[in-house]
Amino acid sequence: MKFSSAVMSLTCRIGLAQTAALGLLVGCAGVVGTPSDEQTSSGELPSATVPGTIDGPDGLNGNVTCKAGAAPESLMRRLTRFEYNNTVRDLLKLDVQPVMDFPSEEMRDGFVNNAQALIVTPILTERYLTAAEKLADAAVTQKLSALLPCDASRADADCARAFVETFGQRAFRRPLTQSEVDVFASVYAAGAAGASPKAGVAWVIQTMLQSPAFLYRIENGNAPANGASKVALTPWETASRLSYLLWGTMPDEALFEAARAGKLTTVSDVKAQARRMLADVKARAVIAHFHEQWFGLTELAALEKDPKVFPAFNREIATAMTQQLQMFVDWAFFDANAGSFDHLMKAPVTFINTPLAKYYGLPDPNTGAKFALTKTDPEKYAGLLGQGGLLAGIGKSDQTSPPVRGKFVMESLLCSPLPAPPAGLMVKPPATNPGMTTRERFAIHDADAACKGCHALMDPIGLGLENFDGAGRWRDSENGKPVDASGAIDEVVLDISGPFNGAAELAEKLASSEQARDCAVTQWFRFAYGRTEGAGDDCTLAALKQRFHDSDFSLQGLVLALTETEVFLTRNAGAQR
Amino acid sequence: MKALARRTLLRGAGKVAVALPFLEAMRPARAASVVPKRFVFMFSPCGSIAKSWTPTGGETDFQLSRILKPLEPLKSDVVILNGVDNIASMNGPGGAHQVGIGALLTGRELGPGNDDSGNPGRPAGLASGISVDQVIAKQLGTETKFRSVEFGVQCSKGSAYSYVNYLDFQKPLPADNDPNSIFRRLFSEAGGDDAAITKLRQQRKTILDAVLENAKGLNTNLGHADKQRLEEHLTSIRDLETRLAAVAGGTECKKPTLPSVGSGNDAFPAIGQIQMDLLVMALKCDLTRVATLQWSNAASTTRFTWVGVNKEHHEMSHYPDGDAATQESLIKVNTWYCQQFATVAAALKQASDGASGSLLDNTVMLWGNELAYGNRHSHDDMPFVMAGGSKLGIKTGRNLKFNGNVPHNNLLVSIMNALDVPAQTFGDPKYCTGPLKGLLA
Repeated sequence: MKFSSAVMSLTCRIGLAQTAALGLLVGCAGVVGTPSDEQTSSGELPSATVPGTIDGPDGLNGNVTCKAGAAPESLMRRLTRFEYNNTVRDLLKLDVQPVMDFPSEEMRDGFVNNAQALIVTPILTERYLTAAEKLADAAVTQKLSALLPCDASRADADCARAFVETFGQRAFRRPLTQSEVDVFASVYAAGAAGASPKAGVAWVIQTMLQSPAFLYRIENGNAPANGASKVALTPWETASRLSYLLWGTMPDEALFEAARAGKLTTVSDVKAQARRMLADVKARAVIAHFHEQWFGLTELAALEKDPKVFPAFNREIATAMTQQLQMFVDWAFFDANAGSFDHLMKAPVTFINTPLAKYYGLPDPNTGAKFALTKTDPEKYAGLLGQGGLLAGIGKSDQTSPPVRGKFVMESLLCSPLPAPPAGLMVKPPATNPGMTTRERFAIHDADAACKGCHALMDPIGLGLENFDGAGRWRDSENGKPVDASGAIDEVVLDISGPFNGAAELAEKLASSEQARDCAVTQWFRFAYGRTEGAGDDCTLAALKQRFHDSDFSLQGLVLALTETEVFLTRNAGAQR
Repeated sequence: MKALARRTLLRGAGKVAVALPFLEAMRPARAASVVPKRFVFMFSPCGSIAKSWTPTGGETDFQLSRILKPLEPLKSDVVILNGVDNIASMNGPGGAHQVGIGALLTGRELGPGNDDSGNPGRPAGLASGISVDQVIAKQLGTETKFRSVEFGVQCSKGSAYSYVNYLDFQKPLPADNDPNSIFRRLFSEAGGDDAAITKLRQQRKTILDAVLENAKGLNTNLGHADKQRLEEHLTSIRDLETRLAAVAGGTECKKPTLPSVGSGNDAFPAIGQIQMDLLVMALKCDLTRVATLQWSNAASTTRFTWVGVNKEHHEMSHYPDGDAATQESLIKVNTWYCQQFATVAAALKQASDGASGSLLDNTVMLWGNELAYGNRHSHDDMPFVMAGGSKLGIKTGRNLKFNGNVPHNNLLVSIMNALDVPAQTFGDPKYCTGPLKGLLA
């Protein structure tokens, strides 16, 4: 069942029969040096060379319709601030957060880890330097004896080389070459001369932390074969791919050991590691990191509201709302019984503490500042949209914004981008009016043909969420009038177009929408692979969607599936010039 | 470093305090003939209000309108530009705010990308070329500790709406919103012990040399794009290395100390004041010769509560001309921004550049916006204001009028020329017809 993308220039349907047939045509695993798995007892064969194919426990799952094509040239990925922090914490075993003054990353397609967007600016280079100095200083002050393989008082050249090799392998996430060891040994000598082994160690750490080999995940261990652009990863490179995807940090000792032993070259090796890693507590931070970007929560803790309109809203509430969402997302992802897309969208569950319960007008869990898992009224608070902070964070400081809420649903949850007002159009958002409901004010968008073209795709969705006020609290009336939460998805190409009433019904629709589920896959693709999907990724996406479907939309299953694609297990070195 | 023994703190309310003086020992006496030339750009968002911006009168006998009134004490130092268009932003992908800020200093359309939030069917990426400040910085910034410094005040992060400055095609240079961070960057060596600083610089040089040496083999087996990205990183390290030994100081240079920095919407003016103080001191100390002061971002949501305006700036900017109350609010907002531009200009005017006048006389200041008039999202007749540069060939104290169809790229060319960058064109050549006529003497 090995075949290459080269034969699939046309729209194809990948099924068991086709893959078997194609496998006879081209066996390219040897050419690109991809994972060579032995045939297992179940007859399972490696499929890492198959575009988009996921070699799950049951082999390929059903038929996947897709347009084959080559994935784009792989780009080395620079550590994001999140990854840098985690990496130096684990590398130096220090409790540090050095990147507070690194410039923030450009957000591309909703995520901060797009490889192409992670460029170098002068300020970043300066910050790498000062961070390296501070970290090296802290490391040798607190951990010198742990870093040096010998007693500091008798640190000779051999001891220095041993330190360089051991520490360097962890810093660069691969063994150093002989010439690299020479370079760092002379840095050690320069630092130690006239000072002490302490300075020697500090200088080596400073140098390594500024090296591109540390700052980027450089995958150059295997050379492309003649004429080929597809290259197998070394076990060390695979270990880093796994650890940065699932933990947002460098590999642990078990992964390094696997790489050292030459494992991680088979799909089943990778699968076993991925399962182990996703079950580890270190995965929680990555899952939180992904969702805060997907749902636009990165600034939620700093959210401000007009105190005249929302006097009960303050920084404490904003912070608590952020925690509420993080805990809900963590639950929806990891809960053994409920970790599914379905629950993320519609589970009548939340996490609240006493101040937040008071704010929302919900029964006090009597837990003080501590959050408690709470069942909610499924008619009101269902899933993601029912966590108050989400809708509080989308809109204006003094009122709800039906268009912006609608836009969030369309773009972030359904991956259906919308246009904004065209240039030159005189736009006046309806002003607040104490005698009118939001729905009445926004009726102007429906009446004006110039507005309606675009707003018909947003406003009716947002108007269906009007039971949540501008600061995320449930309301039954607005300005003395009952809230009418009838909404609709008007975009006819969507599988959930049509009317709904209130957030809970919308949540129900989203949970059952194939397009919403596919959107989750697309978002994960972008985050996991650090790039926008392209024409050549159709089969990968199709296979991931199929796998997601076959796992009953298990979010953990989706993330595991991401580690089993060809895109993940190989790199495309592009044209060599 | 005896000077530090008599360090005293001068505190102004809410402003950056200064300790006197510092770094003088580190700077060799500069040849009197070499006076640094400088460029300062200020960005403010969401367009202006024409009737309250445009001066009345002629080229030299003009009256400042309400929004520009804060420039009254500096009237002989300014050039008000009428009828200059941001033509580059009238084409290419992206919405009005995106294209406006993207073309402002680059003179180019936005490149292709995936962000279609501003324009249906024409998704945009980031700007498609280097911005003029970075071109100027390559000329003026070779000897200074920093090639340029970008000061931000609550600029949003991470999209075409947020970036004014660009290193290259689709390579933004984000402004730093945190005065603490900028302070550490600019003044970490200030007031230190000369011998310790020299030692630290030597150590850094050894280490960066080793980083470069080690990087030699890293590009093996990489694809073309990665080879190039790696080389850009190494170039950045080499640039940092050449600046390690740069000297700073001067008679006007004093090491500041920072007041505490607030957060949230209402801290906007206080953060801005600190950033302006740091910017002025960075120029006085010759730490850099190119600076940008970026207030918020295109389509800003700042609420100007400190001048009695509660609504978000961008939302208000959409309201029609007939809405008198909102027009009044927008006038207040734009007047406030003008006041900040005037504050920086006045501080540079008060600082002496020795025999060659004031710092302002040797600095070109430009204030620009991503739109001309907010509710039309227009890019013709952009509200550009200049200050300073009288010793750099700029004829100041004027209200310059053009009859439209004059691309702002021409203005950028003239600014480059005033700052020793010889050029007849800048940005996309199809949006440039040469220097701006009549700006330079």
